[in-house]
Amino acid sequence: MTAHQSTKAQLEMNETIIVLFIVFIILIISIFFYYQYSISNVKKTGEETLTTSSSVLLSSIGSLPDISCNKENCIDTIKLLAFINQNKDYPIFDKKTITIEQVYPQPKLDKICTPILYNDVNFPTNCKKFILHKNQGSNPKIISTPISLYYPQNKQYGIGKLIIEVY
Amino acid sequence: MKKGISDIPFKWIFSAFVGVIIIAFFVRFAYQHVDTSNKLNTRQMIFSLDDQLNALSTSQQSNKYIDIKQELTLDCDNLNSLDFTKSTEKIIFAPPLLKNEKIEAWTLSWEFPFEIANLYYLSNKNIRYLLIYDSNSFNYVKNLQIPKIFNYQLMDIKNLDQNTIQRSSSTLQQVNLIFFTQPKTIKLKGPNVNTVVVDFKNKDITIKNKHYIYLNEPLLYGAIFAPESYDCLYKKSLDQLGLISNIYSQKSYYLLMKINEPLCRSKLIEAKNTLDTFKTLRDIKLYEYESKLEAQNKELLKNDCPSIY
Repeated sequence: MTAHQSTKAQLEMNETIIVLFIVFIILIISIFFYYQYSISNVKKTGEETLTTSSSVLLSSIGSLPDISCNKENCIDTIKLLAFINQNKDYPIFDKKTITIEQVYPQPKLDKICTPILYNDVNFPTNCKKFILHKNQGSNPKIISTPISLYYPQNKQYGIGKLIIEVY
Repeated sequence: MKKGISDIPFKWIFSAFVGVIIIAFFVRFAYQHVDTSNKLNTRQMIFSLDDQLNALSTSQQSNKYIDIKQELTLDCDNLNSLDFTKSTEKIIFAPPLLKNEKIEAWTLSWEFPFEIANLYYLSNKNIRYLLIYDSNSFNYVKNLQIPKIFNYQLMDIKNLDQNTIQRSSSTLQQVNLIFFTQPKTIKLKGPNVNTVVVDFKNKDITIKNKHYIYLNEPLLYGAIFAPESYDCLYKKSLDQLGLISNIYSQKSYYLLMKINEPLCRSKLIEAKNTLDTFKTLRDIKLYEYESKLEAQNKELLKNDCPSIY
């Protein structure tokens, strides 16, 4: 083998390494984009699942025996106060802030309803909302639906808004 | 000269080495991709199942088929599939393993005397329920309201024959024998056999020699659908009964803050006292207090007072 052949072999070797290097770079770039695409798909699926779950929760929360009127499609406000007082943490409330706002009778004060405010003669107009579950976070997705509220102490019905903030 | 000769094998070794790395990389990538897809499908399936059960709970009683893509295992507080576990507050009576593509789901509101919870029942066609009666229990068994989507049959104890059951159930995963009469021992080759004995007159359910109080039909259905995990689910149901009773007890306390009429106050105090005992009970006295609560609630309504429920 001559010196000329040896140089040719070395050149071929360098060529192979360069081709491989370029192939690797192309592969890495394509996999990077593929992963980005997959991650965004997974995130999108996660968000869709969370939205569906929250919408289902929005329609089913009113039938929770813990807070609903017995055999009626409404929320019993006194049961609601009792439930909040129990601090019961259900897995379905996870990563959500769940609030029930009074719309009618129109509240005069923007306060959170508590047993102390309930005991006041001005209840239910002396407070605005019942907080069923609180979760801290940023940029929540908010969904809401109107609900019927029942005030057993004077056997009257009102209108409220069930709000779910999903984090 | 020697350098030139060693160049070719080196090139082959180098190419093979790089080839192995590339193939290994792709194989690992493929495995990871399959793994991620499976994990994603599992999570989607569990969330979808939970959502569908939530949607079912909006009615007092409903049933439907639900598609599942993977094996589902259930314990008292969790829904599991592959590596994923989702905890649930729902009371789900189901066999420990569900592996059909299609499962049957049913929900029923449990009232005692007020609404306690929606109970859920899951099963599939591989699980058979035989409700065995005698002349004394026939009417009771005939009137049970199990939806037709489930694989269950009524059978007279006189017709109970091990060989017949063996022939018709050999390919099944499980057979639950529910005796509304004196039980007989049945051993089958193939499917698991669970035996439940129901003495509805004495309000007693026996599973593996352990006695439970029969607390209305929804819990009896629980024993039929999940004898393996009934012990835990029965406790969970009683805990929920305690929790809801406590909410009603607090409700009566809050009502007392607002009501000035003496008759209503005395009736509410009576009901609150009953509720305070009721929420702690775990024995047959539950029936006595249930009737008492029902009567007290009627009295409140009759006297135009705010009712407990």
